[in-house]
Amino acid sequence: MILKGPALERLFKKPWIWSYLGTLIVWLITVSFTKGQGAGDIITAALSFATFTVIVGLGQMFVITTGPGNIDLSIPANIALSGAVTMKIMDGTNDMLVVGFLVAMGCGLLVGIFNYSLIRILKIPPIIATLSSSFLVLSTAIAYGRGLKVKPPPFLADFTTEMVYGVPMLALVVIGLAFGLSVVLHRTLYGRSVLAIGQNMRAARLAGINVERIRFATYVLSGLLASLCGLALAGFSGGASLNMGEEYLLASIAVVVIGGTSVAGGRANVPGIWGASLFMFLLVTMLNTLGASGGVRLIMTGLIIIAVITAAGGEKQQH
Amino acid sequence: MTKQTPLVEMRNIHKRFGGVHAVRDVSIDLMPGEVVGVVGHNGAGKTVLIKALSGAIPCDEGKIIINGQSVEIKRPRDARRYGIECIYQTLALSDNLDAPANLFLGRELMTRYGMLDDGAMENEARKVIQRLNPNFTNIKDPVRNMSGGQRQSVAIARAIYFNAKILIMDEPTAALGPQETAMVAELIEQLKSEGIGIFLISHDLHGVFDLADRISVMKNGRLVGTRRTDQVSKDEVLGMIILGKNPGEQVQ
Ligand SMILES: Nc1ncnc2c1ncn2[C@@H]1O[C@H](COP(=O)(O)OP(=O)(O)OP(=O)(O)O)[C@@H](O)[C@H]1O
Ligand SMILES: [Mg+2]
Repeated sequence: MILKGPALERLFKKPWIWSYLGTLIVWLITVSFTKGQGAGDIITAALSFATFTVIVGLGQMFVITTGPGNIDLSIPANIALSGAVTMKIMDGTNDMLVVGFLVAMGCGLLVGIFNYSLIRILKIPPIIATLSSSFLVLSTAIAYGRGLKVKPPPFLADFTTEMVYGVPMLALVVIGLAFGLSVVLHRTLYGRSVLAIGQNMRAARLAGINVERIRFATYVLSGLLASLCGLALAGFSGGASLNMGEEYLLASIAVVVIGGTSVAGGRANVPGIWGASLFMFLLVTMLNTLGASGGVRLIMTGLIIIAVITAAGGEKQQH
Repeated sequence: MTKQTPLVEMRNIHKRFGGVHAVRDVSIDLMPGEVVGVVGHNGAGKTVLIKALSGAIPCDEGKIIINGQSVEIKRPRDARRYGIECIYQTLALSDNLDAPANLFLGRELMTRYGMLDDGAMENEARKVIQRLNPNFTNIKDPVRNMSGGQRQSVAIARAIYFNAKILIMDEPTAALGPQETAMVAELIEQLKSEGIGIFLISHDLHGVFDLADRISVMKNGRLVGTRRTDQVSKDEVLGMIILGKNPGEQVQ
């Protein structure tokens, strides 16, 4: 090891380091089991699939960071709606690409506004509000996209499956997106306000921050990212299906937690979202390779989340 | 001689919380360069009264007049517009942010490109905090890791950095050691000489007597009376706090 003493110690204090270490270990186990076969392919696949988790995980991260109780459970429904609506509107041709993109953003905007309105106007806790809004959103998607089987426009299909030297193009774009949102979190007024509200809502309000405006913007951001994910996922999988968002409910929350973002709010970690998304994919790959059943996979995921929360909670109590 | 316009007049302020009448018909005022001490037992209504001025808890009834102008204070932001800054009894800080971020919270310095200017904020914060507490150098730590006195310095620095004209200090020295307490006293004298008006809420009667020009006593939500510090004894004030009667009613 080149790193020694304080530098190494500092590295291990980074909340995202564990997700990357976990990723490395799980990958090594998998590769040693297959005797090195497909080692590179596994990484490529991990990057491809983790990309979608990262998109929604980033939105969930901002929501969770605004403080205890804040969560967005409407992500799967939002993905389904945006996928269904955009595929139908673009109707498999490149002519409507821009319109399709704008419509996806429109879906996200509406879902975000709807979520926030339920929370604010009806004073429903976010967990209930976003869950009930998902039923409405999903019903809309079902009504709109019944019997839907439209292929994505060729450009979208190509773009979402394009490889650049073995690295998925979409992953590169989403690395850029994560970087951009990291700047938003740490270098803008909005990001600073999100952190402040999550830590001490009262202090933030007394400092003159418009708490409700920031929460509104955050639910809208999460909505936009989920819709973007729906569009990309439909392009990637050759069309939209109504259940394609299902797995992102648990995944979006899991990657936030595993990535080192505080569930209590006020502390967020963008690199950790990528690390945790890769880890989650490779964990499933490893368990598949080792021949574990679906039940075992879910149990493992649950145990890891509990372990991470316990470890993070223990660390907090020291202060 | 024409009477000077008061910096702040709060007239007939009322605040109820359900059945609790926390502040009843209280009127107090504050002149430029004056320190008015507000004293009273726990739950007397001191904090609620001054929160009506800082915008944290808008009052139900009553009038607030700043420099002769009747104003509406509904939110902390309104109060700030009139140069009112408040150091709260329960320190309002964001624990994971560092001292500069807390100092500038809600009023961040920005770069030309609309990004947070952390460098400038750190420099400015260092300057003010240095003036308050020269031993306090680890300002880039999250405030969660700071001592009570250091946290207090951050809160005070926040209030004075933005050129407050009216400063409210709710138990500013409750968490401080003797040396820091003396520093706050010195600071109050200095701000006073700059023409800033200060409401000082404290249970430390000796401290209040040393610093305040006038003392307002509250009991059970009511104002018992306001006396000039040089015309009243500590025992008399203590009597007002405990009995709720003002022996010098006619003096005012
Ligand atoms: N947010 C609130 N909701 C309900 N009741 C409140 C609230 N804030 C204060 N009160 C009540 O108002 C009364 C006055 O409280 P206040 O905090 O002004 O007392 P205080 O004079 O500042 O006391 P202390 O010296 O203990 O700080 C108390 O009876 C208190 O219980
Ligand atoms: Mg009080």
